[in-house]
Amino acid sequence: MYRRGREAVPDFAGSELLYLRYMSQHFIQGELLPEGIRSQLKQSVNRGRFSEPEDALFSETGKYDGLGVVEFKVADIPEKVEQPQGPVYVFFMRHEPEDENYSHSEIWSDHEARTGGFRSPSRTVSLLFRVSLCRAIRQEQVRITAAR
Amino acid sequence: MPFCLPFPGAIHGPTVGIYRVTDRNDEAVTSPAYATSLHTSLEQILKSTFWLTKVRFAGARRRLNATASLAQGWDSYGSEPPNANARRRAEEILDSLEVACLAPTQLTPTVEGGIAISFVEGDSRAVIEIYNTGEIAAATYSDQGEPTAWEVEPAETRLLGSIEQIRVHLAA
Repeated sequence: MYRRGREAVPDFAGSELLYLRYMSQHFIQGELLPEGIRSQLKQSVNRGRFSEPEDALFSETGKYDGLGVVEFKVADIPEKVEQPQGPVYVFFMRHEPEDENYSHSEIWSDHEARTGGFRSPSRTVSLLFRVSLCRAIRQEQVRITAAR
Repeated sequence: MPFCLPFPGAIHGPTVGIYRVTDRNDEAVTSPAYATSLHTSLEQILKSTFWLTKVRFAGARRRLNATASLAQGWDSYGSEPPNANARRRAEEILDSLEVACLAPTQLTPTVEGGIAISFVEGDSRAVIEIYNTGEIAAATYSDQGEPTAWEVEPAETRLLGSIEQIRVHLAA
């Protein structure tokens, strides 16, 4: 879990698993709801290459107790989302290690032309992105069931 | 999907029900002769689409009220709680949905900051998100095919077009 001076590893394989905490109210009839995923701000996840599902609930104060953990693959993240008017957005993974969580990563978005930074998607692109990702997060992807 | 038929003109009026007050001495309640039929009637009422729809809206409003007590970071990822503006707009949309007899499956705070009203009917799903910024977006999606998302114009106060689009998607 701890970084211990390790460098970030920028490469993500499409088959790599990512772990996301969720609340029970956001998982209805066998599928995660889009309101349980954020994209206007960067969505944090733990990468499976360096962690286990349980690590997503690790906290010395127990603040994540009772939350659940779902997994999805890097390849489940829609690479590109178009909209009728406005720019096309691309979505990609960034490894952003923290001192107490080396596996910490974020889902970033940017214009297709790639400005190199993070660009918040429009509301419709955000919703399309989250809906598309949610379709890949079903009962089989629940690794720890949420109790709250 | 749940379906009830509002009377003509209901779009501008309250939902109508028929009520009969009974008391402990009412023969309809106390008489053994009526007990069986009363029990059967109550069972049917409680299973009726009308009653179940009412229960779903009551649950949604209860959940909406509960969001007022959420704190910053309620989702464990630092999200904003729904503000008063989002809650008020969500209440208005619930009113419109009730007039249209389209009961939500779930109402939750969204991690994007605001309120989300979700619908699930078999493999078909839809969501209306009301953001703290005052914006509203909606989407319909299914297991197969491309999802559809659109922003709701601020002038579309009752969301009638969006509600109809969601109803058609869920019924398909």
